[in-house]
Amino acid sequence: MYAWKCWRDSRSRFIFFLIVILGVCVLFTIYAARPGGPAGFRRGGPLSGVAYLWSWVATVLLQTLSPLVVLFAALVLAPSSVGQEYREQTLGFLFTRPRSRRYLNWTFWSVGACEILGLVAAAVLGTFGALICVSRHVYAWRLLGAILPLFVGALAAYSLTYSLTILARSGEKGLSYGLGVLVVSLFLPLVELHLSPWLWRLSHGHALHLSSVLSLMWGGCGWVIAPEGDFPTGALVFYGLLALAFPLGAQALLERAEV
Amino acid sequence: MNELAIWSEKLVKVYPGVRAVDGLSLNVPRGVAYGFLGRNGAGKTSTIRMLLGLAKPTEGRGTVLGFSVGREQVAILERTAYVSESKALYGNLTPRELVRFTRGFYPKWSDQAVRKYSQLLEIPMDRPFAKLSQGNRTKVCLLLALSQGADLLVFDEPATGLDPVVVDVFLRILVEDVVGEGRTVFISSHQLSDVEQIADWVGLIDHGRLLLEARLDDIKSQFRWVTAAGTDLPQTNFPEALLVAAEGNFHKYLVKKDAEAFAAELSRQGATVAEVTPMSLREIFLALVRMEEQCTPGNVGEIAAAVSSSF
Amino acid sequence: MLLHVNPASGVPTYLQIETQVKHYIAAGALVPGDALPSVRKLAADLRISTNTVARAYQDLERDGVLRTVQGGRTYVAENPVSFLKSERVRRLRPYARQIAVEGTQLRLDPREIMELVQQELDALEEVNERTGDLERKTR
Repeated sequence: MYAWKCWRDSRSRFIFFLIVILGVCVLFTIYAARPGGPAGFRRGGPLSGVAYLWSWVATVLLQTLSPLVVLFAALVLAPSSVGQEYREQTLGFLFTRPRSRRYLNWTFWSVGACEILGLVAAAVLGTFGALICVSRHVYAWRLLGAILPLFVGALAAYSLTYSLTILARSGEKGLSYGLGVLVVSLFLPLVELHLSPWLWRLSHGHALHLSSVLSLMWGGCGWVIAPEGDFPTGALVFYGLLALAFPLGAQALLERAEV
Repeated sequence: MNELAIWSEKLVKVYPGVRAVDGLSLNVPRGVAYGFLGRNGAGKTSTIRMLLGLAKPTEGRGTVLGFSVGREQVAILERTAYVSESKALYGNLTPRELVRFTRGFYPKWSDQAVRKYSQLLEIPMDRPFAKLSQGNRTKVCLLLALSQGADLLVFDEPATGLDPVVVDVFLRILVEDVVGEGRTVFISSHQLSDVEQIADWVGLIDHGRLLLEARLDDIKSQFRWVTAAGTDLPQTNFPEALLVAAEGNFHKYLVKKDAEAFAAELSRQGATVAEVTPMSLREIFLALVRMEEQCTPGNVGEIAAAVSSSF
Repeated sequence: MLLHVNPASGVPTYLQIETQVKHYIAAGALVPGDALPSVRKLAADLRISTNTVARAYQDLERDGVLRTVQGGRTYVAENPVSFLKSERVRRLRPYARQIAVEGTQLRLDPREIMELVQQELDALEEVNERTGDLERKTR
């Protein structure tokens, strides 16, 4: 029943984001594919015609879309989360229902996770479908693989914001803190740049990258279409674990909370 | 312990700077209406929050319906209905949707009860909760609690915003459908008249401790005012009698037991008149709580002792 | 049967119920064989706890005033009094003491007090006769 309520609270926001993402993906793809357009059926070059269209769309669209997806992910449920219930004093009601706080925590988080999966799937499938329609040909099933890095990156952003709403005991504050942290984390690659001598020594010669959520998503989407270079596996695992660690922290907070 | 609906042993709750609950040992039997009385800040709500798992006891332990507080909290919540003081529910949901949300938690939920009580209590079922008046919000909270099929119903100020007619309807429901079915009602309230009406047992809490816990009938049978007029009212040591007021020749005592014997003793010792009058719950409450204010906690009997030893 | 109780008075509610039932029986408003409302119904009507009503009914049954059958209904007992005389006298004594004390406090002499008691007994008898007449007429 709690899942139903979480869904109901975020339903309209989710549908709005879904429409926006689908709209952007489909329209962008169609625009990109028009004759004389940025990727319109070029002849010659290392990648010609359809191949070029697909890779162009994958890199430009999906990568550019990533920040939007992240933003939506953080926004989609965090404001109405358990953290927000502190403000509205309804926690006294929620916590006296016969469910453990662990259950409530993970139920809420899971509903958000499913919605994010839905948004990411919509983005990728929408793009995929539009590309098929435009080029009348399935060039790269691999494009569907972009779901994974996009989902993991978005999930990490969402988990972070979700846990911060519980820490801050407020939906709005948690959201602002979350977005703040995400923005700061964009500068992680810069930090890496400055710290590279020390990192090199720490990692005993292996390449250690501090990647932000966005670089995970960029790298992942790019690799899916043109699989040269390394798939950002490290970042994927790192952010995947983080995506699970944040709600674990939130669970600990909730179990200790006094209402 | 298991025959009790609520049991606690030396429950303590300390907040920064204040000992809200200070060694509370409750014994609430099953199948009764129990009135939990006390002033604001006496520790009523803190106690309830500990029993329901909203706050952790600093010390002490307790059981609700035989289940351990803290360790078996979900089992307690499956069988306990709760209406909080704040009556806060999700503002964007209508009462109908709130029913839909809540019923999924309880296998013993009764849709028939929802229909019956929503009508009896005259609840507008399709208006968002945030737009309801205080009285209607309280009614919705009561509806959810009554339809749950709980073995224990805990109410913290259930009459907030309710007009006398609705209170009457609510009391009737409690008597007929809850206590009448062998379930237990625990009401924490300032509304002494409502509590006095339906309570079988009464627990009076002040400064975090129980001043009194007994059957209401017994309290009413035994507590008496004894007013006596006489010069040098001597009295032998009578631990159940507490001098409450003295003016000229007149002395007024609060007697917790054997008032007739006490009055007879006074008469024998020269009092010209010794009236024994019954006390209402309000008078008992005020007298006990005020007496606590005069003394430091724990020496409530000492005034009378001082009087008797001076003669 | 209609009762009224005042929970705010100093008298325990169950005692108020017992007193009224006994009064009705003494006055002939309730006769042996009359059914009393169920515990739940009476409690609900009076808005008092079922435990209180149950206690009153139990006390009255123990005193021989009421009788409960297997199905759960309660009736006025056929022989409302089944105690030894000495027990009956013992039960009435506190009330007699109260009359004596009150009367003395009010500076009435013993003769006046006895007269008052006699008047009350006569009034009860009158009510009984009137009820009896009414029943004979309606049959």
